[in-house]
Amino acid sequence: MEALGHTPFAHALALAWADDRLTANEFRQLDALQQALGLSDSEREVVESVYEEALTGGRASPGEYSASLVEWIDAVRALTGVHTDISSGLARRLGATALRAGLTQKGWTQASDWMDGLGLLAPFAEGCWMEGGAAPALQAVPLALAPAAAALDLLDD
Amino acid sequence: MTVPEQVLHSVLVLTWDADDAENRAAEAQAALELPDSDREDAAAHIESHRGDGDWGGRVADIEARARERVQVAIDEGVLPKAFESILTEPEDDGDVDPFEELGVMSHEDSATAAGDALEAFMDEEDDEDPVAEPVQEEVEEEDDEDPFAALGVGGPAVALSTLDEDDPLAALMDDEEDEEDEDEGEDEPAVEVEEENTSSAIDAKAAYLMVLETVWVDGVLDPGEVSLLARRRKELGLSFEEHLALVRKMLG
Repeated sequence: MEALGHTPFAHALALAWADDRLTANEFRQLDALQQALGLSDSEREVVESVYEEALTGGRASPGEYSASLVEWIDAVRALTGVHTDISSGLARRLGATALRAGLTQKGWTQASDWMDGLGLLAPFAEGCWMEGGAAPALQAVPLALAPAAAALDLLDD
Repeated sequence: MTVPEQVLHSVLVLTWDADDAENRAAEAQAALELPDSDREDAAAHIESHRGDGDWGGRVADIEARARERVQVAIDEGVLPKAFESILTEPEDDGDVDPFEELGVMSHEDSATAAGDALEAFMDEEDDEDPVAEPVQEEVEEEDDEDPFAALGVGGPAVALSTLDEDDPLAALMDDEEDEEDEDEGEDEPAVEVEEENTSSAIDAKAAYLMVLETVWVDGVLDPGEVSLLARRRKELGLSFEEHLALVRKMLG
């Protein structure tokens, strides 16, 4: 699955606007995601304004991924809600898996943005750059990390 | 007091049939600072005595003693705590501590909340042949026992492409150790040269940036190149944060 935006919140925005309208319920769901990601109001505004510009300019694409906004938010909240050791461990191992496959500049840049959006940039970077030693590889990732895995070319077409 | 060779032998005994046996052995060897020859000797001994895994009818005793040795090694800090995961009795395979699997300390509260789920996640990994051909992206929506739903990381699991049989990082870890050993013997001149050429932090960063641009010029970084960069950082006295800042600078 490809990311519909640079960050998990931008991805959620695209899902929310997939049917060309944003309902009050979807707005509240985005509030919940904002809270889960620890985004400030100003940070959220930036993401929304960028997306809305793309939307009005016809550049925003809802993509082909059919997961619902609720499913996506549940996935993100679940990952950010588990103990930090678990999410950081997964992030580090994802980085190590990417290194095993070969780390491209584009993949690093996109995945870093994504992991930063989840608050997991540091452990992900450590895995990619073998800081603190080599971490074991992953064979699967939670849905919330799948766009990063896609950017790192870790998913089959 | 543990004997490193015996500990390594015990790790091999307990992980012989495991999917990640090679990684475990390499990790243990590195932690115990043993040469390849000790690992080869241990493997040869096991191959000649374990038979089909029955150890001539002494499997329970052999494995119990191996667990005991590994436990002592962990307690003494000779082996990382992550090796506790290999101490699980065969009938308790389903009770793998997810924190241990992730190589982190156990936290009871969190483990209670996410234990079953991570266990399911790791089970899924275990079920898959680590050297299997690349697998198709798979969304586990049809599975009643969705591992990530149970994990607490809601939503389906997405399978990753699997890599080659040989883990390039495991091999690299050995290389690094060897190189570090070699370096130790040649430290004096290197330090002198470095001191002679002591440059400002700016010079160090410029030098590192040049290396970074050079190794990434082909667009793909491999573990060997990352290892080289790690050594250069060390030589130049650059922190990991400075490295990340330089990566950002290079990529614009």
